[in-house]
Amino acid sequence: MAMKTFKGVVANPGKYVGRIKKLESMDDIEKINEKDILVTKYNSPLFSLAFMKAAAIISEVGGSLCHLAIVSRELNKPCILGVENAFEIFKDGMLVELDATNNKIIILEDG
Amino acid sequence: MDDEITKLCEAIAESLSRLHKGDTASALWPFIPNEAGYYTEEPFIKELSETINKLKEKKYSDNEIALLFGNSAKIAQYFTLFHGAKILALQKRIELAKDLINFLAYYRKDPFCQDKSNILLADLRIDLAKLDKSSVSIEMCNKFSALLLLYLEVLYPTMMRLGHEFHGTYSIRGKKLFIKEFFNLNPKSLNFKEPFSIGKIKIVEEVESEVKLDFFNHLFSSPKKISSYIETDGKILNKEDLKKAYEGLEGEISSIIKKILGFSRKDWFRVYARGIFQSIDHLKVELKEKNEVPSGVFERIERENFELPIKKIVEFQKTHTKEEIKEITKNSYLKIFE
Repeated sequence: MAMKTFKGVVANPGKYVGRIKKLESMDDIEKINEKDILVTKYNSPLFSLAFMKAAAIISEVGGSLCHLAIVSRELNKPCILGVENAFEIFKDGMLVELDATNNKIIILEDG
Repeated sequence: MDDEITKLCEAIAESLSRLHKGDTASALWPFIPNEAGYYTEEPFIKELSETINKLKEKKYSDNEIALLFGNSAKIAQYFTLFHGAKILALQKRIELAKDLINFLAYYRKDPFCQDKSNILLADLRIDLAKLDKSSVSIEMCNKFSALLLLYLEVLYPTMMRLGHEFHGTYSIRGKKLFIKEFFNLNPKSLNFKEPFSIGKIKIVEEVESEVKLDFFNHLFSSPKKISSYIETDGKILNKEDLKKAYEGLEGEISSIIKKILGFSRKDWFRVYARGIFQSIDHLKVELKEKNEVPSGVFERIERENFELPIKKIVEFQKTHTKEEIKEITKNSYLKIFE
């Protein structure tokens, strides 16, 4: 079966394989752990704060100079932004390869 | 058109086109700057122009006025509000732009950062031995720096340069150094905020290659770091100090975020207006004048509901190349001076 791949705008390169954790509200920050790939729909300091904890990030919005992008470079964590419908596509627990060096996100396991 | 003004418009367009290429309008939090600018640009630019002129009448030199601003990134940031300069007569607009360029030149080797560096003319006084002796890891420095940016995003929404400036890359005795300075960490614009215990923070990094940034101090490259140290209010932080500062700041941010989650757009526009006007506090103190947001600004925020068509803007950003956006931005700035 062909693997589904997605792309967006690379904010910081790097490759990471991990499980998806979607972030919707302040309460979700507690659920984030350092191995997670965070998926967000919006940009706000709330998501940046969660990103401090996670291993990598995917966001539906954002370009290479937006705040999440700058924070990703400071932290040197793989980050792809502007991924259309990311919040709908990626589900909690999915195993994903985030290859921000080649602008590719591959779903490895549905979770 | 004056050569300096053309260079200025070119630098602004180069920076903003990089910012706007991509789906950035919908990513800006908590609003698109132009939305808050709708209420604030004109009264602020008018106040800025009048304040500078009053200082000049009192025989303050350009350098003395420049010094009152405190840093160059803040001065550059004022140009993002410059569409509000249309409230001034053409000659006054040109005069204000040239004054601000002169103030930038007091701080920067090249006011426009044309070679993608921001070399400040101040005496650096970097003790390279501090880099070798630093007990804090690069990873921890990076985390602290990211957290500080996050803190500034909350304090100065969309106007973060009021609280930081990045400069370099400097070549000192074979080492490439990049410096991140954070200041104004206790503004009055979020009036519920408890004072943060640190006033000024300087992060000095030895990097493998040149760091690139633009006129508005946006960083757009992030080379590998070799070593770094952190200085807060003149004191070098060790591992334990840094851990304590990090945890303090993290707690501070969490508590602020809890409070601001319920902010309406109008609340944010008020925070933005207060932040912008407070940025000229030192100039007003020098003139022995009160520095307040004109009441008309708050009244308009209350009365009107200005919103930009975000979907259209995003569509525009998607369908235009960076070069096209640059040309359009440059022309819109050039028109201010025609």
